[in-house]
Amino acid sequence: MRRFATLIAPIAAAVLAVGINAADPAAAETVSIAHSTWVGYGPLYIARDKGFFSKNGVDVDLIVIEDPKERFPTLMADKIQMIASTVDTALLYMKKPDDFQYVVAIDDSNGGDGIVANKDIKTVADLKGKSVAVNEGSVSDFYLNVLLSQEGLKESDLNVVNMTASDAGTAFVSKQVDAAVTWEPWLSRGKASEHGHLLVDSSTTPGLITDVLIAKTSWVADHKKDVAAIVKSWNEAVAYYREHPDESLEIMAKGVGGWLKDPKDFKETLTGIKFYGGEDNKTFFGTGEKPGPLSKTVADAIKVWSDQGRLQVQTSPDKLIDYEFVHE
Amino acid sequence: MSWLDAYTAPKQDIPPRVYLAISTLVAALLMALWCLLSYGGLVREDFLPTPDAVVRAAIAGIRDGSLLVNTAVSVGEIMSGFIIASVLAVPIGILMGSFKVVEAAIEPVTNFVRYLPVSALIPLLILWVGIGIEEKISVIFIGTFFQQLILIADVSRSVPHDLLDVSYTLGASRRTVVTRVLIPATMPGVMDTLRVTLGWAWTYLVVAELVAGNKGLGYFILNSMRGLFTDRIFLGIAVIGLLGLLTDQLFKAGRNWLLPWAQDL
Repeated sequence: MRRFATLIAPIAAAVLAVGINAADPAAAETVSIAHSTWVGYGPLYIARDKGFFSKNGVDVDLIVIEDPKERFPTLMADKIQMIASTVDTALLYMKKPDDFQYVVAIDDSNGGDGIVANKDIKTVADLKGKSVAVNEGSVSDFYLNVLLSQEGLKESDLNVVNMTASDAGTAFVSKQVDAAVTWEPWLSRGKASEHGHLLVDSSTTPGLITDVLIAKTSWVADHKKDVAAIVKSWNEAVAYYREHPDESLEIMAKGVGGWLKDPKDFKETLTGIKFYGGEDNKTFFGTGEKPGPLSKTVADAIKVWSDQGRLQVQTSPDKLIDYEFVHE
Repeated sequence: MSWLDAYTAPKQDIPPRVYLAISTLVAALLMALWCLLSYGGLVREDFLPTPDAVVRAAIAGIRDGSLLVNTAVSVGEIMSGFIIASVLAVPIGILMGSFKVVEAAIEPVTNFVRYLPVSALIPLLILWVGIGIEEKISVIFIGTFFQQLILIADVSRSVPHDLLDVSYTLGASRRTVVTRVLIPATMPGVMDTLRVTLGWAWTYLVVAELVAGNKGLGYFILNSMRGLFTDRIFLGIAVIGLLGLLTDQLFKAGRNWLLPWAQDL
């Protein structure tokens, strides 16, 4: 009997603890933010470890969920409150025209994404009829479509081979496909291969592949103070990084971890992106009356996905962009 | 209450009517639970689709032909991988279970390989095998072959020694013992192993169609995950489940037809 009691006591305590937590809505709610392993999300860890979140009165928990196919259902089920992800990704999961809100921009891919191709493919237009590895429905697919439309081409003009971005890199390096839409470190590896070169990278399309913080519209309405505190902390973290780059690199590499846990690798990968700080955000968002470049990116994404029949609702940029917080 | 007594005796047959009634009842209960949760509004529609949403997804898939194409592509990949694996695993497995020399040579390697997660091998498969249908068949093959080897070796190992001893006593040669006693004695177990591992082959479908998939039920499910189309995810799962149920019945019928003497084994 005593053995039974020692066994059951901790379980009972745990059950009780969970019960108490659930029953006490007055306790400060933790805001969970999910992101993947990527340099762009580094300043979130500066904000956490330098105490910006707590100074601004918000309790934040940072969680790694690599795959957007898992990240968004987790948000929709209210298991987390915010997602750091690219603008285009959120659109795919919307069941109502204003399900989600973009509250602040995080980083802009500035060479971190791109297309590697065989040397005889000299322009994006040359991709016509070639086999191109790309992850269908992902940010790479969005990027490819925008580039193609600038040349008056469509995805159906290519021979698209569907696989994840890193598998695409692998397939290109081993000459299984003529080109691959991928990201670092595969851009460098593709460039270094004997048959390959960098066809184009995201530095030519600023603002297109942009990470933002995304939350459910209903949640934002009820948590304006938390959102404002998070946006403020983000901008402070970026400012801190610009003033103390070396210390920040250590914090970010340790926080993001994974394949970026070495500050040297982190720093190298960081050259492919650009953070959005307080002022950048004001310009990038603009205002409701005079929308900034973000509005164009959202419109591009809506166009690409609805042409592919992937959108479940009709929507427009002004329904999804929350101009309020970046100007506070 | 004599019927209750009769139906609850261990390892006793029950009338086919009763068997069918119980199976149907459980299936109906599950359907009723699904209807209750979805139509009753107990679970949000984008988390659990209603049965009619799944049926409508199925009709749409049949209309544009995509469901049939996806199913055909997947069945082709699964059967190719499974048949290649089985053709090799059955003889090698029987030898492994009966000859210690073969066991010593193959079993340790097999036990090493069969624990490897196939999804982790995908980048290597791209490099070595490519991105065509060979890659998908390889995934299915790796996922099933090594498991089959171990199971079939066990089947052949558990053939009673008495059977062999009796045959020797009756004057059979070693060769005759292997071909006329050992191999036939393993067949019921081999059929059961194939039936079980075909189910395992199906579980590798999504992994197999991760790379360069643009048709197939695994691709269909993955693609429906982006955007969380739960009705299509359910449809894909339902088709795979029904195919599983069908092949299982075919295997059972095949076993009874090919090995009528082994119905109770």
